[in-house]
Amino acid sequence: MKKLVAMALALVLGISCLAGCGSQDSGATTAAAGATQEQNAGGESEAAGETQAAGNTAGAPSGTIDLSQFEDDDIGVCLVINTNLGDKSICDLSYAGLQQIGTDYGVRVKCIELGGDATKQVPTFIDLAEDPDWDIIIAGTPNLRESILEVAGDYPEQFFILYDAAVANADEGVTSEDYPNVYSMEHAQNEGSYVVGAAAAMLTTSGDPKTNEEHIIGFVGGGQNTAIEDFLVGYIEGAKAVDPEIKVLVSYIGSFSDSAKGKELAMAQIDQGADVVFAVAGGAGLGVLAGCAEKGVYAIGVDGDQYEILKDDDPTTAAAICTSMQKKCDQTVYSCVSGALEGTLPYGTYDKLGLADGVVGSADNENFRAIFTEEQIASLKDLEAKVASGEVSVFTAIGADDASIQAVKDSVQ
Amino acid sequence: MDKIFAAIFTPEFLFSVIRVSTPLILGSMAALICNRGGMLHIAFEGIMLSAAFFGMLTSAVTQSVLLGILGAVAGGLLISLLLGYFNLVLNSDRTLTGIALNTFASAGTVFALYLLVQDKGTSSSLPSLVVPNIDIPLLKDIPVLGTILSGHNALTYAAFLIVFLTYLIIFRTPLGLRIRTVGENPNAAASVGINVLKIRFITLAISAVVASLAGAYMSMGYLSWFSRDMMAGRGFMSIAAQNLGAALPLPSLLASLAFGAVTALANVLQTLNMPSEIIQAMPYVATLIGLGFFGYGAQKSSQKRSKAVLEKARAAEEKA
Repeated sequence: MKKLVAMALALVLGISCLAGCGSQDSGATTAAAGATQEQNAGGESEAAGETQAAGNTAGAPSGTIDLSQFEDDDIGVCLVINTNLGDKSICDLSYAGLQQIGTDYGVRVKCIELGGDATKQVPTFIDLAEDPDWDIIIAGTPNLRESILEVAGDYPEQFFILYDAAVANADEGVTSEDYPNVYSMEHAQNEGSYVVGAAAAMLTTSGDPKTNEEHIIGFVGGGQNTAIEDFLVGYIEGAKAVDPEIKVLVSYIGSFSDSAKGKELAMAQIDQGADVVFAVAGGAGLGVLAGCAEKGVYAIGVDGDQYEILKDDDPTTAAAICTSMQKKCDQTVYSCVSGALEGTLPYGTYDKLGLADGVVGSADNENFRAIFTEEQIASLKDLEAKVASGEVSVFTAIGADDASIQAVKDSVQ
Repeated sequence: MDKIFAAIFTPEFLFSVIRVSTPLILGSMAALICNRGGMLHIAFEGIMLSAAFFGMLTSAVTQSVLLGILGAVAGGLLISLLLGYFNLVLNSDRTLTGIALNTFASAGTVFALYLLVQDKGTSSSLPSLVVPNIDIPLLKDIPVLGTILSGHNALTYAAFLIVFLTYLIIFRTPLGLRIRTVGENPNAAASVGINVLKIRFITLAISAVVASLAGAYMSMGYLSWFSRDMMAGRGFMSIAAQNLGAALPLPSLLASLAFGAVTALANVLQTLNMPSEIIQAMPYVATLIGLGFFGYGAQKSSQKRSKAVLEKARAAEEKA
């Protein structure tokens, strides 16, 4: 009897393991000879062209994998994310881009979630570098930079892609050339944030029924790192371009998952007069959006078009999202990995992509059109074009020292 | 500086103190009941998390807020009774079991969430319900007081009611007397015919019901969805608040409100362009300082007590 129970338990455990991992290895069964891969990619290249049209700086995907750079034709791409999927933001977007790669190129794809545990970073990268199953390792955000560089130095044969963070760091004396097996890129989130900052300033000064008389807007960040500060300084500069006297309240949650705290911080800002709050906090940002909806003010989403993401499940919260500062990590991951597969990705270099490349920008949807007037939309589009063309240059936190970032923050107190 | 005062001395700030304190008040009452029964454990975080998950799930399935709360209570009881079974029946170490159950609740709820909605972050795609906010008639029309005290979540009012109920149950009923007796000295309790095991399970169950309401508040009031590890240390802060309150209802309530006030203060100070790293640590530093003061006070009073006892004994000896 005992044996039977033990066997049944083992079976349940085994099945649940399979159920857990099964969905992640989507491309596993399609990996076959090169010929089938090409067919596969050809058949779906139309769909790919539609969703991934903009921001493909590595050249339009030809759909052909350059097999000479890999040991065999069984190619695996592994995405490592610092937190967890399900944030409706950067992680989910990155994984969506990876899954698209899996269907378009017929390669094996996998996503490893570190759950915010920093001690898992280096061992995970070492395991992946040692494992011959994974040819391309891609990871994002500044939180993973140091670990990836540590492992990349020890495994010069393994290729790494680091997005949303730079290899080079002037303080440490590190340059991109020091790591010839790592390609890194950053988004000019300050450019997109400039546009949504201007949009926020327009709303708070417009006399819209959901806004108050004070010209105060808010910003809630997940934590203080270069990327978040870059969002912030762009947002401030954009708001100042519309109203030089504007005040910006700034809070940090100290977590990218504590949505209750996000909501509380947003409400604290709203109590102090903020009527548009920009949430830049991954999953914790959902709390910020909910807080704005509850208090009847506007919110600005991040990374994805959060109005489109939430409008079916949570229409009241979605209605409060006047726009989103899109950082299209799905396109980034897609273009980086497709470049790597086709052998066109320049390892050992660094790129910074912004509005002109279409990887960042403010979301344009029905809610945006309903909240802003025709005039406001026109001037926002005009501003966007000016930033994209370089006519307006936006201060960036990337490479800036703390004092000058603080000076920008102090200018709107 | 005047900016800080302008931000703090507003009815909205005091309203937010009560909102932030609610889970701490409920949690500290749950810890108090356990402490009185000699069953203080560290699994409140897990109990609340499980309750938050099952409350959200039941309300989404049944579309009834009341059933949702009952579901939350069931979810909390599950973890609490598991603790009771391991600790009281199988004689496992209570702290280690508490750690295990907290980890189990954290991972188990995410696993269940993934099975249900294929999402490891939040349950926002499930149509779960929230406990309504209540405007108290008459009170809500009083200018400042109304803004502070009216319009809270129903569970917030329940929390204050439960502080009173805890006092009644623990200090004014035969059951409370038994719970306290078992807590003080289980052998003595057994010698007068009290079923110690039964009383301990009852202690765990009552405290789990209270703690579950804190979980329900998080996923069905404070937020309208369940998200992974959403308790974020509130269970542990409740235990500290209860300790600070010396396991007495009113002082524990005040300690919870004090923690809530520090947390709310930290939220406000952040917006005033102060270094966020220091401010984020404030609630935890306040907990440490509070516990330090409490420890010092307790030591002093016990020294005083022993001195008094000694002097009494000496006086008695001299008389003899």
